[in-house]
Amino acid sequence: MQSLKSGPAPGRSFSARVAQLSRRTRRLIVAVAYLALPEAMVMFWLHGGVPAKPDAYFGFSSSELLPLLQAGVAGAVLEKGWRASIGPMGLDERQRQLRDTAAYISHRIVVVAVVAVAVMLYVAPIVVLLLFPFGSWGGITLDLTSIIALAFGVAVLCLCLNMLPMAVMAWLEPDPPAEL
Amino acid sequence: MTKTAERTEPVLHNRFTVLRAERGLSRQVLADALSVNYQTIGYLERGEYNPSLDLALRAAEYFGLPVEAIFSRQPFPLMSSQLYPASNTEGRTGQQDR
Repeated sequence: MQSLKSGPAPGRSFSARVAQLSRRTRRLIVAVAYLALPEAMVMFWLHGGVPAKPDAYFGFSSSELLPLLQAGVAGAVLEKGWRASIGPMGLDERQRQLRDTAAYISHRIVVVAVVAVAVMLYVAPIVVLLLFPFGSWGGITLDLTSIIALAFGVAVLCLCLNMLPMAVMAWLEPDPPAEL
Repeated sequence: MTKTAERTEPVLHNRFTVLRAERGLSRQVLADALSVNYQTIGYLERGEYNPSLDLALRAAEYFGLPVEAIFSRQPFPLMSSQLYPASNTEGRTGQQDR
């Protein structure tokens, strides 16, 4: 008769530990990952993108690189956990159902976000024109610093969009049962 | 499947925990036999996932029991009350008499 004792087995791999993360921890990781989006925006507007020094453009001193790293690491942990939960026979029916639900919810989130951005793009110029009539504000210049900062911001956005289904799965899935 | 889905889906009660325990099976062994992930067995036991008809039939075949003995839309009565209905009634009567 096999033991029914539950609990973490000694010497488990990192993947197995990540797959056994509680829902609260997984939600925390998702929150950390998606905080990178507003962080990237704040970094862009507060610090003017990356520092002006040429050697800092591709270095770790870039303020825009931090949100990218944050989203990347959090996304990698979520990906690792999801892959570790897939058995040798592939996805089972519950996991397929979870994946489909996550894809459906992600699609809805993206649609809402796109509509919200479209509305903002229409409303924002009107608000700006009402607050600052023509002639009272200067033009916007896009120098190399701003373009690089913008590129980092777009990279964060692409990363967050790409891991959205996985984040939804991590958010939805209940606490995992013990292995035994 | 999920907490959200639980609100909309009717709960399907099952006897996975009892059947697994009385046969001394680990979740992994049962999961391998039914070709699912061991976590799925855990979610089934906790009532957080309703199996497909295929999985229900596979489980019935594996345990050698009819499907209705494993799954039910109503909560299962206690096994002790099913095994010893008379003595339970007597016990209750005895308590009431006191």
